[in-house]
Amino acid sequence: MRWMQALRPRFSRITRREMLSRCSTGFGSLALSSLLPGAGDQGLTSGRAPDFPPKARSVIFCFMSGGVSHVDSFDPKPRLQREAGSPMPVAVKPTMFNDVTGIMPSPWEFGRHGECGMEVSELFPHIAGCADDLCVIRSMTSKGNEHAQANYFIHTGHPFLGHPSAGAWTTYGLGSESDNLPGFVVLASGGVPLGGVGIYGNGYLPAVHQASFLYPEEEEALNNIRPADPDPLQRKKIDLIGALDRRFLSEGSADPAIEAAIRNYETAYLMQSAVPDLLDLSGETEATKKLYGMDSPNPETAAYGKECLLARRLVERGVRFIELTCLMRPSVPGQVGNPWDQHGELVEGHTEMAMQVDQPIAGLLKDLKSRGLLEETLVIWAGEFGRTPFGQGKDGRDHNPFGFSIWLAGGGAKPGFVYGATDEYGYHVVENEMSVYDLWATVLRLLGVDHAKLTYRFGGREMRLSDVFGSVQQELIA
Amino acid sequence: MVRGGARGPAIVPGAPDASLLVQAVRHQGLQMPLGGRLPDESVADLAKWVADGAAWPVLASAEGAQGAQEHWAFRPVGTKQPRSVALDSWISNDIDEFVLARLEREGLRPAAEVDRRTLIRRLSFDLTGLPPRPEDVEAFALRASPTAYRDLVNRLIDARSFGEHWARHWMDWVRYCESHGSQGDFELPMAWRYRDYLIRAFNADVGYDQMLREYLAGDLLENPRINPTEGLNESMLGPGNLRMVEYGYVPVDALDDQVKVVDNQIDVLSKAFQGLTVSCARCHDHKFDPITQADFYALYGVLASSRPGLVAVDAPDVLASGRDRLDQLRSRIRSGLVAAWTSDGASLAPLLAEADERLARQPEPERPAVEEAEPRLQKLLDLLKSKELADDHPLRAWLALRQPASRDFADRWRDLRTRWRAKSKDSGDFNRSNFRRGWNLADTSHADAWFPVGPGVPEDPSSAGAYRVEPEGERVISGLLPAGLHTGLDSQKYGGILGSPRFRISSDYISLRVSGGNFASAKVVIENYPIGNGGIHPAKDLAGGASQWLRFDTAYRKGQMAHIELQTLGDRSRPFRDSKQDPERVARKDGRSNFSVSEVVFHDVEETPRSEHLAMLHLLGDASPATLREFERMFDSRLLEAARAWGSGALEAGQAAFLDSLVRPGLVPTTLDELQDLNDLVAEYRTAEERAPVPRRAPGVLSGTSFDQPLFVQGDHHRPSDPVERRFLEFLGGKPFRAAGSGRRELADAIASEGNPLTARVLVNRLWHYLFGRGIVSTVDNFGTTGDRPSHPELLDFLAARFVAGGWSMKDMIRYIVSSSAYRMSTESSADARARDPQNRLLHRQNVRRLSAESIRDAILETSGDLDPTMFGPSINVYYVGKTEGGGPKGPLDGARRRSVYQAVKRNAQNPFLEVFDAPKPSTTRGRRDVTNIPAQSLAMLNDPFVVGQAKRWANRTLADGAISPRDRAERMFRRATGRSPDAEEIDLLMTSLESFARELSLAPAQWLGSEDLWKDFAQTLFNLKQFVYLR
Repeated sequence: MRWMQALRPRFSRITRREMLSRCSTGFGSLALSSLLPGAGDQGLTSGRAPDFPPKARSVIFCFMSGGVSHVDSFDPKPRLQREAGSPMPVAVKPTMFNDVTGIMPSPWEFGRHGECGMEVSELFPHIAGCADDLCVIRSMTSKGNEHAQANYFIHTGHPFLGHPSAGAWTTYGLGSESDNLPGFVVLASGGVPLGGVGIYGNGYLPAVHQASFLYPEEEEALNNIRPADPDPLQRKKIDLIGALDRRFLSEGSADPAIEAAIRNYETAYLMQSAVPDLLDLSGETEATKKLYGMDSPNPETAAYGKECLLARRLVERGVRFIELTCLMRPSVPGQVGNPWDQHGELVEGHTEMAMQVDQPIAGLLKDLKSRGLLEETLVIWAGEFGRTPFGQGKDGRDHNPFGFSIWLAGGGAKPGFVYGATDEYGYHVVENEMSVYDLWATVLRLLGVDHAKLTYRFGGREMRLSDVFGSVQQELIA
Repeated sequence: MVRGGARGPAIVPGAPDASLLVQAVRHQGLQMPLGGRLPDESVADLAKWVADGAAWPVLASAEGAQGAQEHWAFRPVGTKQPRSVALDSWISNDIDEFVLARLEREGLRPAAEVDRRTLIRRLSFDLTGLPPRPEDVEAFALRASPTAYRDLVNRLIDARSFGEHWARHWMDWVRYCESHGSQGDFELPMAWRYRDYLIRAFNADVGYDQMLREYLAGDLLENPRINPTEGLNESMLGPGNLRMVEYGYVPVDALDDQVKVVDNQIDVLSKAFQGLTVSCARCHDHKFDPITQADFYALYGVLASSRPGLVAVDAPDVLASGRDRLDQLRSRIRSGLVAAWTSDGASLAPLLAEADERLARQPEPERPAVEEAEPRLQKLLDLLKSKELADDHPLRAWLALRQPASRDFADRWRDLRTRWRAKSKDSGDFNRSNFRRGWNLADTSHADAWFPVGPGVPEDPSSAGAYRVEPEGERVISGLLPAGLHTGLDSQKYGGILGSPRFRISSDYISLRVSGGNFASAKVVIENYPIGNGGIHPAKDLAGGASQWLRFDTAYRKGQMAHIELQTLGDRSRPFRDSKQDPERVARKDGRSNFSVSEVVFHDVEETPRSEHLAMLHLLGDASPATLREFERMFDSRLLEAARAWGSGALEAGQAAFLDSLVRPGLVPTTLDELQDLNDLVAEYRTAEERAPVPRRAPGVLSGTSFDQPLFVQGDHHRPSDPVERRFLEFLGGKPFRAAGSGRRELADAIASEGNPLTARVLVNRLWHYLFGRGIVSTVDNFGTTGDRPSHPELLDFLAARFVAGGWSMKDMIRYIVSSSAYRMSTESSADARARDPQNRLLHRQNVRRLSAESIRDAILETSGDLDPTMFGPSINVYYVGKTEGGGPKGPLDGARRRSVYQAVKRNAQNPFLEVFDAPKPSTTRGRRDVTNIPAQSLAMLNDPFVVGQAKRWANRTLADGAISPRDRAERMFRRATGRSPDAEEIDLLMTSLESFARELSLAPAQWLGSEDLWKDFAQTLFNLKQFVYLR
């Protein structure tokens, strides 16, 4: 028992508070660990003070994978109605399916909402009810015309694997405020968008910044989070490991990396209880769950509602960047990870998908607002591109990266505001083009970071989320 | 700025008012910079500077570039000899002289030599990636022989696990991957052969210069490296790495995709083997190194002039073996067929007469009569009633003429012939006015322009009447081929890829006259994008049967560069997936597949070329039969002529078409049953054909049209400028490549050159990095001016020179480095030394290193006793958790207990255990991996079912170890895990915790030795020790 007595004060009665004080920036031992000799001279985080007073503290990214039709949602184009069926009067760019038909009017009515009178279609009645909180951008563009490359592009600023996702850049730039949860969490009830998990990757940034996938519906919500042993046994293992490792460390090979690795065990230990605590919704009222649509008879709405509620709980716990995934359409099981992609049956597909996300997202906005969290939480709603104003085949729309709509809410984005415009058909941007680089430059600005200064050296270059482009769109900032 | 961007030149020297830059800062039209106007005096200064001629230091003189030329890494490798130093007893080889000289200059002393148990553990992991076996540790620890260390080094360097470990390093340099990423994550078929190639090459100590030549141009070497044991052409496997690129999913903008692919190839090539970041020069001259934008496009031309594909990697003698015999047998079978077809038994006239009679007895005669009919008559009757009978089949003339009519037969004959001649002429006229001939592949001069690759693709066209003997079934022959290029005439196992020259698409359609079998495919490859499957990347499977026109819609692709490609099943760059829904569309797995191509035409009409009715015209000829019976006898005379001509190899196109019209439906004897005399010969052929090997394929690049790539202004592929001649980097002496071909061979020579200042330096530094945890240049992938400077420049040069002089042997260099005293230093050092050299840049000690992800996993398997040492072969599918997109089928949790190097690497799914320990993403060169510390690593070691499962396996094995006491077993297991014995205090810790584990499990002391659970917990604890995952 000698050794246990020796250890007790150091480990066995460690408290969350003690742990917090030791892990100043929390998860990933961001401040604790340094890279090994030879592994580079760049730290695990940028270590930079904010460039500007931050307006947002966390980001929730509701990614609408597959591509929402802007002319059917946030960008009304009456001309499509008037010229229904006519050929496009302007040159049509090459499309994925090369199956272009005539101009296709929106099957949905648009109405004015909120004090700002923003036009939103009847696809999103709940979100329309939050119009006065939305900052709609109707002039988004992408460089990608196929899903995987466009998914990579909107997440990383590059169309392929190997570059950090926006969430990774955010935690690299700002660190994490959570001591026992990852800084970048993907709520993975839905399918992984086309292109695979690399769209959430850390690229060349240290691995601590890669997304952690939280599967709220699975028995093991986070990989390896379920203790393999009952607590007393695991605690004893960790204590023994620690005791032997400390001797190893004290034998002259005192290496900060090893020291950090030892302390990681304590963080890991705490995470094992933090994750179940996060997922335990018993403390939430029925009214709250209802607000998020978790009582919906539509299982996808209920599941997306749970993602939204968990997003709020993650924000409350200081998690920096949360990304939500859309669930697949049960009627089209082949469309895993790509559920908004209606090359055919636009009405059925968009109706199902809107029903899935509309109430939950509106619930999230309202709940965040009522708790005073919306001010410091930036919600981003975007797909990888929009859809063509002309039809594809019988009743679909092809991809349109030349102009589409996204919106921001909270976190310092200007509320009840519409920015930019596409042409009268909704085909190309004609006013205030907003590139992906501009989007992230603006988001980083809201987080208090100068996008041009958030760099990481790799391959002889100072890499950035905004590559060598991007400018902050000041008009979007409240 | 002077050359101009999208809006034209930003600066017109001497003309501020015409300069966009000045206009912009004056807010005339454009408003720059963002965020506010410059002060007036700054605007005036800029305008004056432009008015004065916009002098720019680099424009004004070449000093800037010359300055960069002086950068240490671009100067020739120095030849400074090591200097003698005082502490000569420490010196094992010249490395130590350099290290010690540097230490002494700083007043430091090298750390003591590490203890033997630690040393063998360090050396084992460094050389083989595996821990030493406990008995080897003991033997080495106790052996006092002066040669003990040298013997150990030699044993480990010759171990087969050496290649497995060092191949993985190379795989990091070339971003080894088995899929193309993006949507679908399409498989790169047979990529694992490249991994096996690397393992064999490292084990065989193939010279680094040779490996570089193989890397870029292994398919072009005059004397390829043949592996007689495996029957492989090893050199052919080298270029496989060029294929490990990411592709977009059926990109709309295919050129954009090609730019990304080539950019990545250049990035990897330049970082991995030259320590340069050439890809930084895609949009502009390199900002820091003397690399011009033109350099980027000079390399672009070399790489884009090579096409993606699969190549046969068998040794030439393996591929050639038995083929003469097949040809002989085939030729004898032809003679036999000619004999059969020219014999009385093959006569068609009696058959036709009989058919005439039976048809006249309509309605159908009673069944028995038909059943008794000889098989050929039955085939004839069936064919005559079948919709399959072509509108211009010669039998159509017979059917028309046998109809009773009042008119004279001779008149009707003449009318019929006139009608067919007119139809043929109309078709010819239509064809001539609506189709632009691309290539007539029956014509040698056209065929010569194409690019055949693979053992089954001929260089020269066959004349009309080429044939294949059926490898199985009742039919001996199923048809004759028109003149053209045909694969695998001797055996359909010999396949390959046939590519056209590169051309710009200018027509709405492209049509090919083709046939094929077993899912050969034809495609119009746009800008080298290899995984199109139809739609906007035109591609189609080839149908069997007679040659047909196959049309591709290319209107969408007008103006883009493309080539036509035909591939046999095993050579399809997008693997063919059997459709379970449709059994008709399931590929045979016997390796046989074929294609034939005769003509390529370009056109804007929707129709494909019309038939000119060769068989019919040939039958009608100039004869004038007076009766139907006479006409029927013409079938026989034409058959006789044609069969004889076929036998002598002098078949004309019309004869070939006519003969094929009889052979294909089996109207002449074509079955074993009908050809009794040929049965033995056919059996002999089939046995020999069955024995022919199916060539082994691997990813490779194919020769194609070589071209110089126009420079893209600002990297914008929509703005091509002048072509840049293909060459190596100018500042390293690159001159335009003059020989025919892409220039890959010349590029390889320029890199694998003694005179290249970077090649050897970069490589020896990489080896050093893996043996010390830090390179002499710490930025191992960047030797440019933005990279780190060498800590020991003279040592680096000394090693580089020694490496080249010693014949580029990596094994020798590794042996040399680990033989130094520097390598054998302890990681421990005095507080004073640590204070003065905290980063250990001066190498006063060895570095503490964490094992690589692969070694951690392999060590767990080895320690548990579960490691399956099987080498080589197809990869184990990736084990991943949760959901992903792509990644292929999910593999087993324990990776089939094989070493990590044999686990599949897919872009869209990584093994979470390897990923969490910093296994690199396969996107670009990663010569220096991250070594991070994240809680997910602790969670993996504590909770991952792989780790827990391996602990259980180890515990299970250990129950039978014959230990006399729990303490005895605990000590053994500790030794096995760490390579050393626990000291007294450690034993105390181990025993106390065993006691507490046992208490949790409610075990009485007597039950300890037999409890798998107890030892599982103990084993897992050992896996978690830092001593297990860190090297000292």
